[in-house]
Amino acid sequence: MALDPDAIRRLATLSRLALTDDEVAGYSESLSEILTVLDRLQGLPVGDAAPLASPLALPQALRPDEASPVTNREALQAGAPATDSGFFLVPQVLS
Amino acid sequence: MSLDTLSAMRRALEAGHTTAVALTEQALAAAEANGDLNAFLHLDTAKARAAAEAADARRQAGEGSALTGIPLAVKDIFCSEGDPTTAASKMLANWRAPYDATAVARLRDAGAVLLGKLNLDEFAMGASGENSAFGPTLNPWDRTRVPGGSSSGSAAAVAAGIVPATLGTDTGGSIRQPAAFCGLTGLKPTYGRVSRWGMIAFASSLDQGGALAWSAEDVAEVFSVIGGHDARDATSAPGTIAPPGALLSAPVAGLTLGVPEAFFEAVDSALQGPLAEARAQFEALGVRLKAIELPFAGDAVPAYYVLAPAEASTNLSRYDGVRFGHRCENPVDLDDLYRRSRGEGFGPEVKRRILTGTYALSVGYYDAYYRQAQRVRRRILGSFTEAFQSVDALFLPTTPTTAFKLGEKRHDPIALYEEDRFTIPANLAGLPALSLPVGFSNGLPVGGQLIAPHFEEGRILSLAHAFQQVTDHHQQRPMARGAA
Repeated sequence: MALDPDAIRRLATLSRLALTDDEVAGYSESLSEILTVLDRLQGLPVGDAAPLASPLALPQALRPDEASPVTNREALQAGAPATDSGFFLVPQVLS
Repeated sequence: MSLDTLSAMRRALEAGHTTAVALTEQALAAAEANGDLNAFLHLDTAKARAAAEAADARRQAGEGSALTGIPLAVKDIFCSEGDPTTAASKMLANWRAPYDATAVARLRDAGAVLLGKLNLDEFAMGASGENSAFGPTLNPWDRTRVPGGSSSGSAAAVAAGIVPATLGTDTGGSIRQPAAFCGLTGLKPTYGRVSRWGMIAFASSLDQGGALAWSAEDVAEVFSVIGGHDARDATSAPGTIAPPGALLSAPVAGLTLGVPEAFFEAVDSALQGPLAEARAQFEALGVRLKAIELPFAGDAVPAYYVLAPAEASTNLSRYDGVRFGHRCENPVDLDDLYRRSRGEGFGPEVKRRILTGTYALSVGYYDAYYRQAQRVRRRILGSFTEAFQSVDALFLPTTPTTAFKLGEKRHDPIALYEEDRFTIPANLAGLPALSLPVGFSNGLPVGGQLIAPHFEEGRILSLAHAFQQVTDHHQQRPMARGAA
């Protein structure tokens, strides 16, 4: 199945990715080729196999509900592009 | 001659023939002499020297363990406190990790001297090392060729004799393929064995940390330190790891190795000879070979390239220009901030995988791609389970070819995806798998792969160790460049 440039633009919107026109054209070509590989999945005789999300059938990991030290806010926010008084700054959302 | 294996360094340290400081200076000199390889993204000379002095003090006080004073380095996808941690992406070019990954913390606690952070394909997405935002890594065996990927720097740094072992991660073959291309032994443990805490996520149901070194003996030493349960990773497997001696000493005579012939027939003719000799060598060790089939394993590539990008598209949504990482200039609104920060920060292959994953998860295609891939994954796991009814482990090629030329497959994503076709099945099934050097073709290393049932790392480490007691492929070295 081919993915035309409009389909790539829709995926880019869903993915929150700004792409140039050249990128859109390139991904239209390469994703269409990749889909020919992925389409090999169709028609494989998987029968009634249940979907497998994780390879190990381990029980849900549980731990005591106890407070433990975490990295402090200053250290975490040191890598943020813009902060003020412990908040992350973003462009104005409400007008 | 310089010491270049972990066990030789350890023996020399224990005998008092060298010091951590001397080994660290040797490693730093080798790193500088091999700067053209672009194996390191970050080399912290001062921190390494301080850690070496501390390690010597520990040893002098009669404390420490096998790794105390051994210079090591980690793939730059592991967080290390205060250090640049980039995942080889412009997105994280200026980010410093505020904490240590569990695997890194365990190495530090053991007294290892961490030299720095190693190059990789951006966010571990690639099979050649060429997808790094900071330039490709070269293969020490032939500097016109790729070292493999995504743990490209992890393989090159060992093969060049800079450090004796490194940490890598393996989502679809990213430890084993570079190990094969660089003449090393590389272990991808069972899914969940090595904590994913502090390991930057690519595809969470597949990602697994592990080690690369010259020999199975050295890999076991590192694995026994970094592995074992970690409460901070909800998918961490229970239990501890046996000591290295126990991991290496399982009797191999009398074991049965399954050989999926279809995989051997699919390799380049240049690899046929070394792989056939390796099979004969295992038989000489008393191992029985049994031809088997692995239904659906041949369909692993399309299943993987649906599941891994789908998980990546979700995991990488955290890079939004708000909490960490790259932010675009002058965003007009929040959506513009997200779109341009991500468009500018991610490289071409990462964007390709996000788009592919988003497609596979989108309404109307979810069942056809994502669900179907998960069903194929179930069948692949079933094929292995069935095989392990009659064999103890599997032996197959690691890669279809030896290391290819830089640029040769750069613009052909499908050719690169197919590189992983012998390694991906073990990731989908969560099985421990190891690549070991089995010979050379035109001067380039050839890798063979061993796969065991869940949690049986000791079985494949023992098989590899026994093999390395009677072969010398793991003792071959590329031409040194300026090393001490």
